[in-house]
Amino acid sequence: MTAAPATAAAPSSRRGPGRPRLAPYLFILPFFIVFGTFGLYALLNSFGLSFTSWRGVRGGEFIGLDNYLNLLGDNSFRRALFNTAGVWLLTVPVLSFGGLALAWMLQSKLVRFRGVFRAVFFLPVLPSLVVVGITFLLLLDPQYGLPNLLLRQLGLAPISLKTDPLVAVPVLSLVVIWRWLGFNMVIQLAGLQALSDEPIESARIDGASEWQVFWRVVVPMSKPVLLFSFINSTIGTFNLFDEAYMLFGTQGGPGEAGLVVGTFIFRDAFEFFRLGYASAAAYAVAVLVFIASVVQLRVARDAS
Amino acid sequence: MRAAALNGALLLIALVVFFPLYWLVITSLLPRESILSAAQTLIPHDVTLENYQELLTSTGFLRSMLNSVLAATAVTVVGVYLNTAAGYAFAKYQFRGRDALFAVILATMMIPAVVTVIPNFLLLSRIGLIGSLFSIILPQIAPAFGIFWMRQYIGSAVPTELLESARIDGASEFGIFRHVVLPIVGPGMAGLAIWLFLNSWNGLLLPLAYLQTNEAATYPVFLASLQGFYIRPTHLLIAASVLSTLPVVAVFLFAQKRFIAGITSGAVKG
Repeated sequence: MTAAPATAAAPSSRRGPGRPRLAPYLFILPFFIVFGTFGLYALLNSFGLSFTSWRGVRGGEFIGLDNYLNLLGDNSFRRALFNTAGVWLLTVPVLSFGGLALAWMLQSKLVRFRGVFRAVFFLPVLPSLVVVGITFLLLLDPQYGLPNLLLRQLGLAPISLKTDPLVAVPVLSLVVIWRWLGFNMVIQLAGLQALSDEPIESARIDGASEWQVFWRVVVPMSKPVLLFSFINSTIGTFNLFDEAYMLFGTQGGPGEAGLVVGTFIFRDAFEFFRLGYASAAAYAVAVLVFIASVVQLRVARDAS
Repeated sequence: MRAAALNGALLLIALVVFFPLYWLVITSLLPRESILSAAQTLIPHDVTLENYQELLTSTGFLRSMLNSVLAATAVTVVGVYLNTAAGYAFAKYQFRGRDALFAVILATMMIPAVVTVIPNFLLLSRIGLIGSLFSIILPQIAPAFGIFWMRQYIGSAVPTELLESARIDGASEFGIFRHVVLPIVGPGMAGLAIWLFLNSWNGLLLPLAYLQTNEAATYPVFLASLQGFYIRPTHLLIAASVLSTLPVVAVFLFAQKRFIAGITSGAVKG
């Protein structure tokens, strides 16, 4: 990664001959030894693995595109992608626009105890995701979970993560929203504080309702931060693992209704030991995330 | 009127957000027979610490917490120094390959972490580190995000004139880093430290894949091992959940501002 310093020294355009040449390379060397090994080399290695039939630590043979072709016909993978996309669809708008709305509400001069609210909204970020999973398992207990007690009071059927495939993706989404809404709010809060009050005030003077002010003035002005929220949540959704593992295990719950790409890849790699196949799945997902991020950037640019 | 509606709405959201954690804590204080039973009420009647007592005396929980502390501390201390030194070079030096290297670092930030988990497993098992804490420390000490963050911070917090005048005074490049740069980039390092620590402290994927359930397991693995799809959360699991969260909440309450800055700085995960 770091070329021989003596030959690589740049002619120092700005500051003349006294400029240090070796020092910057020494400063980045320790980082790049580790990053090069566990980051860059791993990325290339994983790409190579995805074209092999590698199993366990034994090894495997080059099989061309077979893994990728098999993925296309793999029902579990398709289900995991579908479920992950479902979580994305249910969470990303809430996290971005909802986070902004919450920040917008909190920033109003009418709010009392702003600091307390901010701290409470941020609390769900603190426990590990494993703990978050346990908390919701407790809350959503089929018999004594609070929502189910209420449903029964109303004469409705209780929901069960163990038997009802339809609730898996909504519940997973709910957990993600609970965990990250306050986090997104804090990011949006910083963005809002940097905006000028003028357009907002003049919209109010023109008689716009708060709802209109939010959608027509605040949202367009917050576009950079919203875009950041969108891309960040997209990457987060495709990295989803801990919550899904705790709620649905690597089996993915009833009918794999709670299987996401994170648990699919983990199961294939570390339970079935199909490392080549799992690498192909990971790369396919990485490409999808990349495309989704680029599309979001494009849409945001075209919208302006 | 508008004030009442706004404050009321925020209060309602706050209660909904707060309730799951409240429920977890009060459940942990119930005798084990009352957990997940009709005897459980919104405000607990008979409160006890016996679940905590059993957790601490008869399980491997403390050991797993110790492992988590060791791993997270190592990741934080080493990671902050690696990233600060490299971030400084990217922010304040002109050198050949700088922009290309930085572009590579930025590009890797978009890639989901799960891609590197498998090749690193093979590499770590080849050098015999699978099952030891080093297997989860090494992959976490040089995140691409750390460079992004420190370069940004040092670029704006360290005046270049200060470095130049130290150079004129005859200070060595390393001396400048040590005595001029490090003393003024504390806040940036603190933010990165919180991000690194929490990433390591909270993570399940790496320890689950690399440590399995041996002596070196961190607390998320310990918790996950008590839980199965068809098992209800047990009294021990609930107590362990609360206990493992307390240290983070304590730090949060004491240093809220810096803490929030540190976590949200990590919004773009590496």
